[in-house]
Amino acid sequence: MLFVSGSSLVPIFNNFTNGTTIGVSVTPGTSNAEGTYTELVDGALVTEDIYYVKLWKSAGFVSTAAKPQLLDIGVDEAAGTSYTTILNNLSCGDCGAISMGAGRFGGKMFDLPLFIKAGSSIAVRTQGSHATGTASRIAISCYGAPDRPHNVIAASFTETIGTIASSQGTAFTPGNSLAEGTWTLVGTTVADLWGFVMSVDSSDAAKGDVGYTFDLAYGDASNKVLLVENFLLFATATEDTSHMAPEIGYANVPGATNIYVRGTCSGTTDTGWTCTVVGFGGLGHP
Amino acid sequence: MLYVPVPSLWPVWNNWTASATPGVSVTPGTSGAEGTYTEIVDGALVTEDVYFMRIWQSAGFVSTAAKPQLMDIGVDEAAGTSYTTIVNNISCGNCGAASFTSERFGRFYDLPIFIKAGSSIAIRVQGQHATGTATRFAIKLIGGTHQPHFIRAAAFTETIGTIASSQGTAFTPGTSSAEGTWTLVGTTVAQLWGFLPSVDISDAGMTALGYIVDIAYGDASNKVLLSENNPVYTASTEYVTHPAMQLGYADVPAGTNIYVRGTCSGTPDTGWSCTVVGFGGIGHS
Repeated sequence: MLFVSGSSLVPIFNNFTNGTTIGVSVTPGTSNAEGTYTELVDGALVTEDIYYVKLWKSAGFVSTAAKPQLLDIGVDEAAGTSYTTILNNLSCGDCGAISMGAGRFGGKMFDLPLFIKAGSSIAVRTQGSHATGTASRIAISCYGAPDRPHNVIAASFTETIGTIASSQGTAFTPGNSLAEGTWTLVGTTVADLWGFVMSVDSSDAAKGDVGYTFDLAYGDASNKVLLVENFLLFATATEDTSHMAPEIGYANVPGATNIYVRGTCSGTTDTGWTCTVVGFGGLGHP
Repeated sequence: MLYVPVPSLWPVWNNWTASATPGVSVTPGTSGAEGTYTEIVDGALVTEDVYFMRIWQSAGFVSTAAKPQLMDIGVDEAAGTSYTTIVNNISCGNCGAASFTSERFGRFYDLPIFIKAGSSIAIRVQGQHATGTATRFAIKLIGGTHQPHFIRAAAFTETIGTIASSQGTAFTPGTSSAEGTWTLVGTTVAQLWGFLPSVDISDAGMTALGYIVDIAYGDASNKVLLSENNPVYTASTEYVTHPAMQLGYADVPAGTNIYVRGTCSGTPDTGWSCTVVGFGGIGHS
């Protein structure tokens, strides 16, 4: 957990397991339609305020198919099923599946410094570009109940930076053979933000067995300040991808700031890479 | 003025690459002996104070062999090679090798620790086995904040657990997803505010299984969870992998009991052990 806590935080709820089918099955919408919200945790089980969420998305890839997806998180503070979206368009497709025999804790993990009120039901939905929706498993781990909530930074709102098309974000091209790719403008912030989570996807139906690292920065065409450096992702020739070391970039960035991405590949890069960046703002407290 | 400033933190240095052989090779000591410190980063490259470290470990296992190991982290604030140990005995053996094809990474560790700018950082490993099999370590250093007084980064650590045969305190995970029994890892010496669990196994005949591990503080009757459901995987070729275990954040006084328990997807392998690194104080320049 790359997370700076100035307070105690207690595990509130999680459905991580020791099996290969973690959490809850979520079927994406097809042909770029939004899926329907699937509850991850009922509000009755969220007995304390949440200040941090970890998501683990596993499975959902299909060999020789491209399955880019975007994930939304919704909450119903009344513990019902009328969800208000609090986070949009996290890139999350082609997730690798867990395999104990291969030592693969597969899929994509995301760390999200979010405030969610006690008693809220939490759900996710995914939209997929493919005409056939392949279910993923999504598990959630929630921490909260700080003894000094004023010392914890947890967002009261998010915004997603990136141009959305075909269930993907802003296109960019990683460099080949460990050469850095060119910095590409993901988009521009609207609000003042203090935290950033990058997410990437590829719409390549014939991926290679290669590794990637990605960087995230803010700045302008000439000068950039790194937010996240060498975010690690592995891709395979069976069209699945995994990143299991999520990171949060912490910087106080005013509205109208440019956010950039670049990447590098261990060999020849797959095609169709895109990026969305979730920005975190405000301080959510009861 | 009601003002809650938010600290910025930025990447200071890292040697993570898009590679199946990340970082630096470190050869463990054998038969329970400490290895020698191997520099991961020279102090000249640590240009700002560090407030958080992430370690990516890859490789070190051998099929049909048990290779439990313990990792120490050392620093030389003068950018030399005379290392002072700042973290002791993270359980780290039998590490799976990174593989693009298998989408396998190895083991990750998160450490909310302060390291002064200009410090060289090194790692050494002690291994139980008579033959030392090299493992690889890559690190990420995050820091350089504008508001250091708002960041918790440890001034010191202590490791909870009884060390023997390059392992920590023994415990037995439950079978077929039943929770195992809470086992006392040890008792804190100083006041601490952060906790990193780490586990290892001494079994030369592992099975492909999944585990989850919890740690808590408390007493024989009442426990408060610090970190819950941390996944760990074992393979039948005798390696272990896991994502970074969740840091537990709790203000715990000296003399507090720390407990571990685990559960296995099937019948657990034998020889599990645990150490917990506790973080204390606030380290700043």
